Amino acid sequence: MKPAFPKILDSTMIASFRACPYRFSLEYLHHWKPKVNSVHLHAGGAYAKGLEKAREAFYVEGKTEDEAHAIGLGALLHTYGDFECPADSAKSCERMAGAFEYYLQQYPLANDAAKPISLPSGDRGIEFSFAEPIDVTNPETGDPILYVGRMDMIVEYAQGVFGLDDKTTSSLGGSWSKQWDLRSQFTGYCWGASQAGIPLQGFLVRGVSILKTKYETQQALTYRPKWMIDRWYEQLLRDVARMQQMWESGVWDMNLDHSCVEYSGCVFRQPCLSIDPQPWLEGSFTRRVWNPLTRQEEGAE
Amino acid sequence: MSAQSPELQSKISIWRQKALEGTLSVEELKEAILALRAGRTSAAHASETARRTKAKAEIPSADDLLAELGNF
Repeated sequence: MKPAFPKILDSTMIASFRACPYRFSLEYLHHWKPKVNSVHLHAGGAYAKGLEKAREAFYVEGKTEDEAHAIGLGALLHTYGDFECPADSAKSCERMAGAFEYYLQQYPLANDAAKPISLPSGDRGIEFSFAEPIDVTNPETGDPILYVGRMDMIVEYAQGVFGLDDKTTSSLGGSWSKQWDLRSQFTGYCWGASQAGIPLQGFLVRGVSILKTKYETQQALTYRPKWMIDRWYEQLLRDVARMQQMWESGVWDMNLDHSCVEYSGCVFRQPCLSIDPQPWLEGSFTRRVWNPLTRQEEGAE
Repeated sequence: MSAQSPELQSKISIWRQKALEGTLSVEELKEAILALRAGRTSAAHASETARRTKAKAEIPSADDLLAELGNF
């Protein structure tokens, strides 16, 4: 039976499709996920929740910096929960808590050069979400497909309005700042914010590296002029059209190349090494549904 | 080697458990922030001190060096 075609797309799903359409179909149409949650996803989510709550406490609720730090740390610890960090990962609860404290020392809430804007609704630009229709309809419902996103903040910075995204990483080298200039995630966020009536000049990306004995940070400012956003949108429509063609035919193209080994290797490597992937999928994976709006995985129905 | 001492890691484990139980107070969290900061700056200082420490070699005096040149 053909799986449902997505009604909602986001940058994570599009990145998966571009890397390997077959992987995309397994991950987001059939919802196969590794049995153990990714430590990067889990730890990153806890870190983001901590920063979100600290910012809300300070900028919205008017708490003192110390109180806001404490509230944010509480949210980080609660979200991390009882997740067992792999022994070879630096993203333990303790190290993420340390990274959180380090970030707020480097970018103090009271003196941060990047402050969340006030939106027309009266809200502050903290965890800004958008869901905008694109010019492609869902082949099953006939409704426009929604492209959604959720950015950490929209800020006033350097006499402009930018999105802000926080990243954690294992290392920050000289090339770290250069990887964002064509990043589809940020171009899509700029498109979505523009559609929502809030044009952005680009993105401020803040990275914190979690090393064995210390933390480091870098910032990168990457611009998105209108022509880049328009180009991104046209490419998105072509990608979704290809996605629909593969869905209709039931044949999903496979990368069978660098995507299989990048970023610690594709999670579906073992099924793809087998003439019959189904037993591998049913034995080694579970079904969890990616929610693009909350950016969390949820249990499949 | 971790930036966090065993004592700090132990405290974090306690705070983590209390956060899960919903019994962690704001005052305890403020204490946690201070402990994390102290642990981080302490580890950074220890790392910097270890990096700067070098084996001390006796530096010959300029007079001795000139005297040696005079022997040639």
